[in-house]
Amino acid sequence: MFILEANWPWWFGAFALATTCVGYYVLIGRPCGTSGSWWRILNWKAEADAVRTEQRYAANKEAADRELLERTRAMIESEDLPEEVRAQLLAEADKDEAAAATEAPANPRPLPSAELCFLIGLGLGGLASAVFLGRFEFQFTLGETHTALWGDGVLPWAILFVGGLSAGFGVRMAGGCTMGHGLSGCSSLQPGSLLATACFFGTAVGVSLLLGVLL
Amino acid sequence: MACSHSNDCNLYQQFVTKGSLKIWKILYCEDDKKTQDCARHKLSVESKPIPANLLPDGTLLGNGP
Repeated sequence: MFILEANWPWWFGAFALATTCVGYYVLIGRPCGTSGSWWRILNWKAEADAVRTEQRYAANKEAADRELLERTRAMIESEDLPEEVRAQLLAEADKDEAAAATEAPANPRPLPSAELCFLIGLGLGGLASAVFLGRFEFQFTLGETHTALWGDGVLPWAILFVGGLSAGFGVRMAGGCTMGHGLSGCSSLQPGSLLATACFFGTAVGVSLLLGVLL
Repeated sequence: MACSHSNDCNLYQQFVTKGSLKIWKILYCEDDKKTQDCARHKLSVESKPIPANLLPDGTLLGNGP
């Protein structure tokens, strides 16, 4: 059965990735991304605080909207604005107070426990695949290319560690990783994701070609 | 230039379209200098969670005194 083969047919791989992206969005309510999921887990307390404050807001929605209207009107009256702008804003406040009410978020903010399950599932999926294919083993080398470049001993592990730090730094700067930008962002034609993915893969191709020349 | 995070800000969409709430856009969203004072922008720059009811001046709507 092809599902237990090392390399899936292209169409099944595409179907699995698409199902993952769509399913993640449907279940969790945000774009699928590994680094973003880690970031939410690292910010668990802040996420939980945000969930609590949004719940209080939803429970006191009418009072909150009155509070916003009062604060907005006071701001219009006290700020240094051109008189015609002030008059126009006050007229709008008088005309339709209901229109100035905020809207509750369409999807309640979930706790990062959903992302935690996703990340645990990534690890378990990899483990299950290796076990079913009979390829599970502990390895203490980093591959022929890495050894050829950096030799044996502590140095290749130090390089790997620095590489991991650089990748983590880069994905936070870019606002996502290959999964977030490459799968979720590109599929929704986000310009930033298209550019980020072009950089990811362009750099990978460039480094591969360079290593081919050096080794 | 408008706030660089306006596309992802659920309040910005309401500031643009809803009556007197435009005052918030005028004071916090319309140029780079003003966005530096926005509590939502600050959290967004740090990739921190932004409560839907957090106003640009840092107060939380509906959370009592």
